[in-house]
Amino acid sequence: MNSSKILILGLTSLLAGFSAQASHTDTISSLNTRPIFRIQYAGNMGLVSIGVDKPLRQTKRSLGVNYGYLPKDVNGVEVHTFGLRSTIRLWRISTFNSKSTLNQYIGYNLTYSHTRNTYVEYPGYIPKSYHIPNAIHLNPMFGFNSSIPVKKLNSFSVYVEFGAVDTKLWYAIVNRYIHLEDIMNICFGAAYQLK
Amino acid sequence: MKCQLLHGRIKRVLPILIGLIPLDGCDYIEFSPFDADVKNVNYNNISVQALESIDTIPDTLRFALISDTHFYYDDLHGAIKRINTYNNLQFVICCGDITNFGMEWEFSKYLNMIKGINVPVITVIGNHDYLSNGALIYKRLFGASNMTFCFGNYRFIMFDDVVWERGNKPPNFSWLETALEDVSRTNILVAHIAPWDKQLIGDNYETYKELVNRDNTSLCLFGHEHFYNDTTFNGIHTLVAASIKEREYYIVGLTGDTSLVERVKY
Repeated sequence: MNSSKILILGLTSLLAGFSAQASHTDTISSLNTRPIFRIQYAGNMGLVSIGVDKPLRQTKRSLGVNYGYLPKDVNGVEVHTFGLRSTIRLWRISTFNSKSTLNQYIGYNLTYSHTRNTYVEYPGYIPKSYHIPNAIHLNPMFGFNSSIPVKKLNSFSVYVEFGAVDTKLWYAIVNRYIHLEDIMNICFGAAYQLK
Repeated sequence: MKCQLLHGRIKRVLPILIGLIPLDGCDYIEFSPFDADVKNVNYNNISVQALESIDTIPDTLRFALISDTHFYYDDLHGAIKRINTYNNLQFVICCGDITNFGMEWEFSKYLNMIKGINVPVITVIGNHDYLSNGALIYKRLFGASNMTFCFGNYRFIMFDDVVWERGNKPPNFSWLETALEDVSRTNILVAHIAPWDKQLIGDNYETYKELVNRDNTSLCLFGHEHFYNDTTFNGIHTLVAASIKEREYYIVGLTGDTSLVERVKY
């Protein structure tokens, strides 16, 4: 898949979302603000990450925190990642005869990672402003989630997200040689909203 | 009415979801920007082996010099295209800082790009390459950070002289001392940081000056400063290569103890 296809895909879905939002109100109430617990695979949060999101009352936004772990056995280094996450839902539709909902959202994950030689503030022997802090990254993303269309399980949902870490995004902006397909990543997760 | 609206929305969404399916999953799975999951490639060693297999050694050795490629991929791409037009180069040397944050993605991108160069490429480690898990990744992809290789009558001493990003430890001068003891060939010193840089000023500078002299070295090649500088260190012809961002590279010609540098802008 080339970069233009991914770009068109992202933009199309965003536009579709905005138009849907502009022409229709949500068919499902936004009043459900109970916490959502998530478990995720990949997505620059480690091998596995867990998190909790809190939908904000009367808005389509939610805020969350997450923690991810990348074991040394898997990737040669141990990385602990802590994230602050903010998303805004673009649109929501009912599917499977209203047994399920499909949502699209955009947002970002602000991450702090702890591994070797990563710093928010570099050691004193390195002059200030010599390096940009490398422990904190912003990860813009967009994603889709869908609740399970089974009545007893509809508190559970699955999601897929597409994102890119800020540095790579910057490289793609300033280099024609770097394409979106070089920098994008995909992650999968499951979520459970408290009843 | 609601059904129609819903049907319309699904129709709009389905092509998008179907469009996602061709994504080649594995390439897009990333665990962390700090991944270090790379195979042992030891590309410097591969390059040296390729050089060792050359039977005919020319009277004048010619190689290209680049440095500080960081994230300037367009500029590196341009340099590679130009370097590949030469038919009388033996190899390419890169004076380090091949990444900005020591990220695996940056190392791999650089490696994939230089694999497109028609001649072997030998890369010395830079201070940026030490950030994050860069030291581990460099070791796997390029090999030991201190190494030597010979071509004809010349011996290239690739020296890791990073201090701050290596935990403020002095460079391994005992290794350098041993490497410089062998004067059976003409020694060329290649390192990322020039001795007069603030990372090395003080004891490290003095040690550098004590070890590297005209008796054991005929040319020094550095990077790091991002600007071109043709100068001398301890009486030795010294070239500081500009960052590739300046869109220039150098063709170095060696005949006997004489070195000639052609600065090429593109």
